[in-house]
Amino acid sequence: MKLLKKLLCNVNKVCVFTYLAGVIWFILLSHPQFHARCYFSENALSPGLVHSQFASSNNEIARFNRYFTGDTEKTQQTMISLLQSIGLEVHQQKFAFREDFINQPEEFQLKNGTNIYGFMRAPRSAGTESVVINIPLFHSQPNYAVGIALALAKQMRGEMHWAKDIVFLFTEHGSYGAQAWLDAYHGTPSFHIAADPLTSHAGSIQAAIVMEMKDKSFTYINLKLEGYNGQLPNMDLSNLAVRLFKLHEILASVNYQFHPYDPSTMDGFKSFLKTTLKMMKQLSTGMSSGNHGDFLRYNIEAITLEGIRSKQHPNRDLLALHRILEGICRSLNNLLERFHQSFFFYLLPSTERYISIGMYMPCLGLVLLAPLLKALSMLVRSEITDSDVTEEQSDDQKENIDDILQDVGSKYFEETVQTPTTQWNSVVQMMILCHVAGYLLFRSPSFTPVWSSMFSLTFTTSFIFLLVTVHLAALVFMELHSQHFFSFTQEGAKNFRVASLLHAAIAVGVISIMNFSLGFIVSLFLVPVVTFIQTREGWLKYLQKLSLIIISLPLIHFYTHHAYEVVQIYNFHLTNRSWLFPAASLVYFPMWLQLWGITCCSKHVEIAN
Amino acid sequence: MGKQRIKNYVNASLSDVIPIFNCDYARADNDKVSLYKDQESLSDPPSGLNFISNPAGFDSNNSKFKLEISPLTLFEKSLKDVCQTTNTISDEFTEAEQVQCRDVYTLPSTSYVEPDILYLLISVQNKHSAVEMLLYISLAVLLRAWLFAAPEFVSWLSSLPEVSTPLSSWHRVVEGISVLKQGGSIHEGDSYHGSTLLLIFMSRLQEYSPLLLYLMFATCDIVTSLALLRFAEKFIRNELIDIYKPDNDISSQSKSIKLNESGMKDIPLLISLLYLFNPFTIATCVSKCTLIFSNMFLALFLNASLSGSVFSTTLFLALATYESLYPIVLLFAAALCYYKYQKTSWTIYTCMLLTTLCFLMWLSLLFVIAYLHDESPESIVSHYSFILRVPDQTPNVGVFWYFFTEVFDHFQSFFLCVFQLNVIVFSIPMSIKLRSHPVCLSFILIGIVAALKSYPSLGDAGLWLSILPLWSHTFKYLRMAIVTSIMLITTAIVCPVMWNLWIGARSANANFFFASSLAYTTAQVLILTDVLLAYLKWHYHLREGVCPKLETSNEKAMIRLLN
Repeated sequence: MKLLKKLLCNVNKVCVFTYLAGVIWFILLSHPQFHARCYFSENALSPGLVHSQFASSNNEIARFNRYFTGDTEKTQQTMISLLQSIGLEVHQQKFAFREDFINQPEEFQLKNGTNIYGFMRAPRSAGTESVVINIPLFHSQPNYAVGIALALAKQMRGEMHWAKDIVFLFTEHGSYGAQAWLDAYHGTPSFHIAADPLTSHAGSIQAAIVMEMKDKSFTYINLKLEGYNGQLPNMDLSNLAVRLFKLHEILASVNYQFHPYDPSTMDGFKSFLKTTLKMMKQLSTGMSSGNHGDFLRYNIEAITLEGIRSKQHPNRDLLALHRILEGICRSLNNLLERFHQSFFFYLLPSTERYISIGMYMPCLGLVLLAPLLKALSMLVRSEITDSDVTEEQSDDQKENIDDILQDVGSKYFEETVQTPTTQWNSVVQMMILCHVAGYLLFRSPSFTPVWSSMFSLTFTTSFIFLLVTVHLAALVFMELHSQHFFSFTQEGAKNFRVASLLHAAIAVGVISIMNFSLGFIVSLFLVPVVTFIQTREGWLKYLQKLSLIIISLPLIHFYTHHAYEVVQIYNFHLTNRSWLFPAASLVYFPMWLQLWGITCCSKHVEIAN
Repeated sequence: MGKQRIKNYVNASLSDVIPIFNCDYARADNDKVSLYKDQESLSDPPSGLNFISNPAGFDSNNSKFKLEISPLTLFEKSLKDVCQTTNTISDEFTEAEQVQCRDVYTLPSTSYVEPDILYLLISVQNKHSAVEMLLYISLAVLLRAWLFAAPEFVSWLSSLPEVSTPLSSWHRVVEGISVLKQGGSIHEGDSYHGSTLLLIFMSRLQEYSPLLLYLMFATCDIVTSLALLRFAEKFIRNELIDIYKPDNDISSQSKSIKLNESGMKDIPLLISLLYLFNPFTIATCVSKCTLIFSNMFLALFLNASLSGSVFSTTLFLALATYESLYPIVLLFAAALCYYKYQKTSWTIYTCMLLTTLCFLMWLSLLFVIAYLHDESPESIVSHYSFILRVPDQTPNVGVFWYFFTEVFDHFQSFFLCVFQLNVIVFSIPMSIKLRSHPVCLSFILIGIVAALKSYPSLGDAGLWLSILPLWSHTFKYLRMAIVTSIMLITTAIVCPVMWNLWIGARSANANFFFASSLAYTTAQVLILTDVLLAYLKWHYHLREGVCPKLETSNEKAMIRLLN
């Protein structure tokens, strides 16, 4: 109890301490002492236990690839005939999709695409399970992984040990193709894609490998893991790939970062930190870094292998990758049940090390402890100081317990209860107003066409213009509301602040359960502001407003401009993939507006006093 | 407003005042009245009385002037006198107002009326004028209509395990209706597990017009909130009468913690608004969860239990029991309520017997009607066996499903008994401890059932959380209000997130969801115990005074514990 009192008396220092402790903890996570070596949980995978068959050659891969350099229409026909000649069961699926919801609001300008998929039916089982090898076809340049896939398919046809159907899936238009195919495969319609139903099915999909090769040879392979909304594939799958790369002496990277040569040095530490931060950056956008994100949405463990070529370094030919792919398929073929062991929540500081959820969650907890403690201290401060006084008084007359009791009793109950106007109803009203403003921001893009015809702007400009307008309108409304129509008493302002602190802590905490990276990054800049904003006068007030403006949504978007355009974020929200737009407008914006409200009501508190 | 005037002012002459305050004589100055006793001015004039001076300078003893009554302080003195004063209410009042006063005079259980109660009654009726309430109700209806019109949101909401349980989800009702139309037996398959009468009622309603269904659900919420409003008004009035009764056992030292009407006058409206705009309630209503009906019956039961009418009380209790079985634990509370608020003067045993008999009569009547519609005992048995044996372990916010998916089959029946007893057994000690506070007893039992029943959902908690402000006068005795309320809010938000991680993203597992739902249940139980303890403590202080005289050592220890 005494400890608690002491803690609450120095709450500001404690808040700074916990915040810094959280940040330092997070940085320390990149030290080799704090993260562990990746290991396999699923022993059934047993990677590298089998020898690869070497059935195909470099020439064969190159020969296949030569077909796919020309016109798309023609290559698709070639593809079908090639797959049929190999002996697969080939089908194609036509689909049309709507890409941009801002710039084509009225007339549906649908883009068309074709998916080609071939089943390599398992010779030894009923075909209840399958593995997908997805090769996205680009329009501007060839994907050389096509050759690898075809060569692998040809080799697999001659082998008898496959227990799972292997699906070779060639998709167009990036993730739209993959989504169209997966939607049709699982029978879930989506409103922005119109796709033909599939003419044939394989078993339930256990895992998927996406291959992207933009050159005829490669220096190293980059693993892409990040799915939508912070989803990650089971760590066993990425372990499997990394282990096989190592076995075949191929360089592998995560987010284009390699495992440091000497992990114990400062350089190694920096490299770990950089890799972790890069991964968190990608995760916090809520966007997928490749086609695997769409598979992950259907709970199919998937990774993307991207071949990177650099001119300075020696290159490997595609045959090496062919062996890797074969190895991965062999391992997945051994799988007896769905991926369920190992980790789903992790961060990778390098290809061979991981930070588990148990290690990184506490640092977020420490950071969020600051607003919680602050709120708690504000709520109980009056009680604590009261009981302090009585304790001091009673120390003198400890002999007479009755007196003490009476003292305490009188302190608590005898005095005429003069309830200060707590104004909880106004606090609730204020919070509801802020959330309504958030909802308006969330719905505002649907007025883009009206807006653009009114001001004769392009759709994109008017969309951004609209968002900014709603922002400013809410801000001005808040300012006017607190100055002219409504004022808090001191007690009310305190309660509003407590509510905002708790709201921020809970909201960020919940976000971070779903998407740790987003939650942590938001908490890093939000917590200092939220904890120390209060109703003040003079230059401090303007400093607070400035700090709020710095963390406002448009400016945050401005700092991270190169990551994703706001139009794209909105489109991804409408296609129900990334939740970044709702999170920003429905959670972050009301929170921010409340803080603005706190800075606004200061003048009136003084008058009320 | 004329009515406002009644509650604040009473016309009296100085000679009326003198006996009330035990003073020798009173003198009227320009703007105030001073009282004198033994030649000394009472330095501390009674704070409850403010004399409003008569503008045309009055003759001290004869002319009447207005007395502003703030009721709390009056009753230490001779009440009869006050009432006489009240009786001399001047002829200024309009007829309607006098009628209102006369109504007040016919209040049960008191031969006279304290101006206090008069004040409260009229203020309650004034405050929540019909227009204001109508505004709130239409707002609530609009909100629900708006949400009903967003099918995606509704389907997402209905898919949440916190909102719809196998017992109450709308999908099951739809299936049940189609089975009914095909002419099959409702309870044969695993589609519908609710009560027979409800399904028949729903199917009739749907045949009529699907729009009526939406209207039905919105109406249920409104009826519930109005019932809660009436219930809270009545309860507060009764409590005030109890506390300010002259011959009660309330300590004179407990003045500061007594209920006062100014603190309580907004409570009924707050309660009904809390129910109307509670996210839990809205979610239940919008997802068309049939739980809304048992909530309505419970609210009507609470309202009826204060009226002292055994027939209506047991009717609503029987309806609630027929719907969801667990309200049967409220039977004893109903009897106690009847005993406390009866208009006749029967003994407690007679009351209990009467209540039980009436309850059984209504319940058997319901069974008979259900039997006539379905013509098989299945219609009654399978509904209750589904509640008691918990065969469906679809996740929900309760404690049953996780345990019974884990436990070995041969222990299942044993643990079923343990878990079900856990819900019911509290009713016995609670009924003994709270026998003189039947309303508090009903509240606690409703809360316990909501937290621990076999298929709980958010709507269950919504009901008792809305009634919570009824105990606001005891809230200063709460020990961990902040922690528990934050815990409840957080877990209520985290539950759907964990559900999404488990079922949607498949990256988490059942433990995540169960942990948050367990914390949710724990928060409910903690709040309930906290409120109960606070209420008991408050009542203890009310009886013994806030700083009671300590004589034996045992008592000291008790006081220390209480503090």
